[in-house]
Amino acid sequence: MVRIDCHSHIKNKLWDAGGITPESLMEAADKLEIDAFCCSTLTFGMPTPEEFKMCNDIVLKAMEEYPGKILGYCFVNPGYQTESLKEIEKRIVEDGMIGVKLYNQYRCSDPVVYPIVRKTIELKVPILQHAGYLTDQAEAAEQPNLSSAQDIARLSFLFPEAMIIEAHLGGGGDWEWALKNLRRARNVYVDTSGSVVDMGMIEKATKYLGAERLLFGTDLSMEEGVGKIIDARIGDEEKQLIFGENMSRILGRRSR
Amino acid sequence: MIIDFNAYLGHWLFRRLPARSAAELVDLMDKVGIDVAVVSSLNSTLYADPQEGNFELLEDIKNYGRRFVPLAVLNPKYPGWEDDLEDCIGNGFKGLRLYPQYHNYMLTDDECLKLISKASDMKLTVSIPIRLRDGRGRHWMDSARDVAIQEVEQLAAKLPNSRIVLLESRDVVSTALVKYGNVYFEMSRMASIIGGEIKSLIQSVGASRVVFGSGVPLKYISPALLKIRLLKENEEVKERILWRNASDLLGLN
Repeated sequence: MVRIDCHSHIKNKLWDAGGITPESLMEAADKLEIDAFCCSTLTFGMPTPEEFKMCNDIVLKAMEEYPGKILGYCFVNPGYQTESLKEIEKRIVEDGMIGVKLYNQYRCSDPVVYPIVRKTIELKVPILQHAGYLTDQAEAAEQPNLSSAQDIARLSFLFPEAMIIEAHLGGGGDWEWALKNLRRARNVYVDTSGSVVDMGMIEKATKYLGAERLLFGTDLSMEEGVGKIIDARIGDEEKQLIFGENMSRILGRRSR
Repeated sequence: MIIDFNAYLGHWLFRRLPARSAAELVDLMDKVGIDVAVVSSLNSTLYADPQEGNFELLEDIKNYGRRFVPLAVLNPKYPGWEDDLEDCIGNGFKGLRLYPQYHNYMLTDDECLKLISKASDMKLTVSIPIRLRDGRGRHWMDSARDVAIQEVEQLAAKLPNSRIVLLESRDVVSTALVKYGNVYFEMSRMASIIGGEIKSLIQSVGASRVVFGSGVPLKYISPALLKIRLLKENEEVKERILWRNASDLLGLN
């Protein structure tokens, strides 16, 4: 059964990411039988073009060190539209990155994000959108521009050809709320990553979205990421889709 | 042999659990090889009188012999806990599980200290979950706090003869809590691979103060099981964590 972690990270000089290096990911890969990691590295606040290029250089280096094992997302800040579009074009077309990573600089329903979405449609690559619905007010206050499943659903209705991945179902607060919002947003995938391993999460996600819209991920919660899929009371074929087949298909759509 | 020190039975009012009864839990345990679950009542989190949940739990597990070890939930702020404690122990409960965040008290409140002192005199282990759910997505009626490590530290210092098993904790290795020999740690939220917190904890407190637990049925079991299976330790250490320590703490030998 192929296992592709659709949501992983490595550290950079501005973000420690738990100290994760490409080497530590390879060690985890051996233990957890993970075939490939889709990685980004990012910075917080309002990263400048220099900063997001620095992040993408680090990911590119890791891709070159571990070809086929580390696949890269291009991280950009949509507020720098010209630079972001140029960076995406370069990283996807020339460097072979597999998608775009957006963090919490803007809600994804903000029009500033639309040109980025159009670019990913043109290149036929997914957007991994950091997301959550934090019911705890103190937590929510820390990320005022956090995209919710509602924002993602709105974006998907505006751009039905886009491939949007809602990040970390198990790391973005009320996951049941997210599933309810995304049921009809048919071009949205959900990654199952995050430290939350609430029993029933994967079964309910399968029931609401279908296994073909779920993507295995860890977001560096390694045992949690794998263990929740293993335990889910769903069929083996559905687990196969979630663990890797769905992501393989997404990667196969990329423009050559 | 595997003993799950962090298991529950009953309803969780904020989300429908896939397994609520003893029969359903045994089914889950059998699928992954858990022999014994140390359980307390989830109903007792919100019952005004938690004792009602204790006896519901006993009724539920009565046909499953040694598959379950029951822990009594008591609220030291609610009248009659002394009698309830006697009743519970007389009816086969093997220890206590406290939910201070749902019963609205601090571990260092006088009433709580009195309860834990009494339990310690009776050689009972007291387990305390730091939390029962991730707060980021909490239900709007669920305002329970995460128990602070410092609060547990103060309790451990005030009652050195107590035996406290801290459930759902993490990031403890760099805290003063590790110095207290009367505190044990359940590992389900600690990483085995990246960061290696479980290994660091073993190095810090010894393998005799770490116990296996999953949080079932609030949480899936396999994430916690994977953490022990992938731990770079010898079989003797793993055995201690998987069941020997729990067995000693609960007097199951």
